[in-house]
Amino acid sequence: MTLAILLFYLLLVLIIGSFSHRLFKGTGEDYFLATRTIGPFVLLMSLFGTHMTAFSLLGASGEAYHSGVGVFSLMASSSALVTPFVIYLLGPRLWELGKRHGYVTQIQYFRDRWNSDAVGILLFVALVGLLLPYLLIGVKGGGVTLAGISSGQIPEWAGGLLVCSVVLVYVTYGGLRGTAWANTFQTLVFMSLGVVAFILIVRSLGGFSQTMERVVEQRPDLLVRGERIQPLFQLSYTLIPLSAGMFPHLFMHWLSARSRKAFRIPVVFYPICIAVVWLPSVLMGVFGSLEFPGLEGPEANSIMVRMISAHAPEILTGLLGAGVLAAVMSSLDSQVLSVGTMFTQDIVKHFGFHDRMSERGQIWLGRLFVVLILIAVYLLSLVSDHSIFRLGIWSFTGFAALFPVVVAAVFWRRSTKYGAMASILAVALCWSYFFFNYEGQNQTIGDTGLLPVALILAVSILAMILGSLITRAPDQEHLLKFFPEEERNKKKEEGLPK
Amino acid sequence: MNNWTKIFIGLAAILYVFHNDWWFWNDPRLVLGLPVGLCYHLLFCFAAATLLLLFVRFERRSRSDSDTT
Repeated sequence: MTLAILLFYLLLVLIIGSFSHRLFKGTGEDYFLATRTIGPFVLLMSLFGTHMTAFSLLGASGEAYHSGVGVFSLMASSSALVTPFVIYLLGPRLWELGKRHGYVTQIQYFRDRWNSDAVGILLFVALVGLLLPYLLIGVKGGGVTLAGISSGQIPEWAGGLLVCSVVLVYVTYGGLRGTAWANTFQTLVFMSLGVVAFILIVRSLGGFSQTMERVVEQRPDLLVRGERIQPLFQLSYTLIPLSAGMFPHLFMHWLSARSRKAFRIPVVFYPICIAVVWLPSVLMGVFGSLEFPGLEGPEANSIMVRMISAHAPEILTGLLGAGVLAAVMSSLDSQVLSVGTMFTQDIVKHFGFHDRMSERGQIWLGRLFVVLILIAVYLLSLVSDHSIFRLGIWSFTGFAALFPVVVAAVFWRRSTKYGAMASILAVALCWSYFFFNYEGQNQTIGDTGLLPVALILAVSILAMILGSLITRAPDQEHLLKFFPEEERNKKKEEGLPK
Repeated sequence: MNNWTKIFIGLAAILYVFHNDWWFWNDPRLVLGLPVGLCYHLLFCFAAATLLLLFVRFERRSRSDSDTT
């Protein structure tokens, strides 16, 4: 029964994603950006669904199993402020520039902003490299979920393969519109089923108050942050959500918006959506420590699935498992599409065909890259044994450290391509150092509680400022293209229409 | 960057300071059935939503004013 429901859910996602193909206009802009027609509700659902992944459901409950309720303050409430703040500060401005100059990827914008192919290549390598662990989270999360829900009938390798196959079909067929529609459906599914799962599980445990009393008696350490989460650790952790400013998959969704106004509803509801998803996830991890004690390290990532299997009626187990799969796939699809788009637009089209590639050629090449990326990520997932939470943190650390690049591009006229290159290289070097020396440990610098992201971000800011100030100022005429207000004022002074 | 954006950044920075609730760090009390630290951060999410709502409304008004002038 459970398996049948899961398979039916996957089929439903396929149908929704593929149905969007009926609106397909056959152009590159339509495949990659849905011809910039996405309204506020679908934008909220697709941004949120893309941002929330196996990391927030499986990873958060797994981490709460070990560290307690403090996980909510680490990632959820900090994201509730920082992420929509970043989206509203950058999204509408970049959307306006994207529409005006026809950008499809963020690399096109940065390359044009600083008039430099070298910036484009460096960013491409950095962004794709950082997206790989993020993609792995999705594939591994899908495998863990299906294996757990089916009690091992579907092994992890087969679960990952199934998730990849479904995503592959609707992304290659439906492009960004298919992805946005499937995301909207899946976000609604995982939000509502997450709440339903939580209520059912708590009821089965004997009620919320009673379960909380059991936690007070048996695991009071999980109700406070205590020694597990140091203040400096939480403070530096709040820098992680800055990563939203540099995620290629979020950027792609920003460009797909119908208008500037379309950003308003998503940013206001973003913090509430975060609370709705993270609160049950974190509490499920804490309650799970009473029911399934003794899980070690990454084993705890399966705690939510174990709780669902143990406490929900069989018919609902499949539905609730589908909710977890929804969170996994709604991120994987946008990430895969964004990497495919970057390969097509920023490498093959820009360097190989010098912007002369036909619309049809672009679409087919985009599809081909989606296939290749999914195969590569799937194979990598078979040999990677990292914790979902830790993989996520490393990926987010790199994207957050690149945040000064987008801020300088959007707000700092004096920034130069050398500043941008210095910043990207500094991030690459520092990130590699910390990744290879700190992975597997507690990930803080000298056990102070300070996460590497704080140091890498500081170096990145310094490199951007110094690199820009010691090199020649950018051409003022070129800058007018990227600072519309200045351009409007200039036209006003010249007496031209706006 | 217009004045509304600067005010918004300032208010968001103030809210950010309140995210670091050292005063509830080791407090295991339950408030509204939840650990007090968790309850505080849940309310923090709603405070963030309120700040964003205010900003979106005021920014929209200032934008429509500047469009008409």
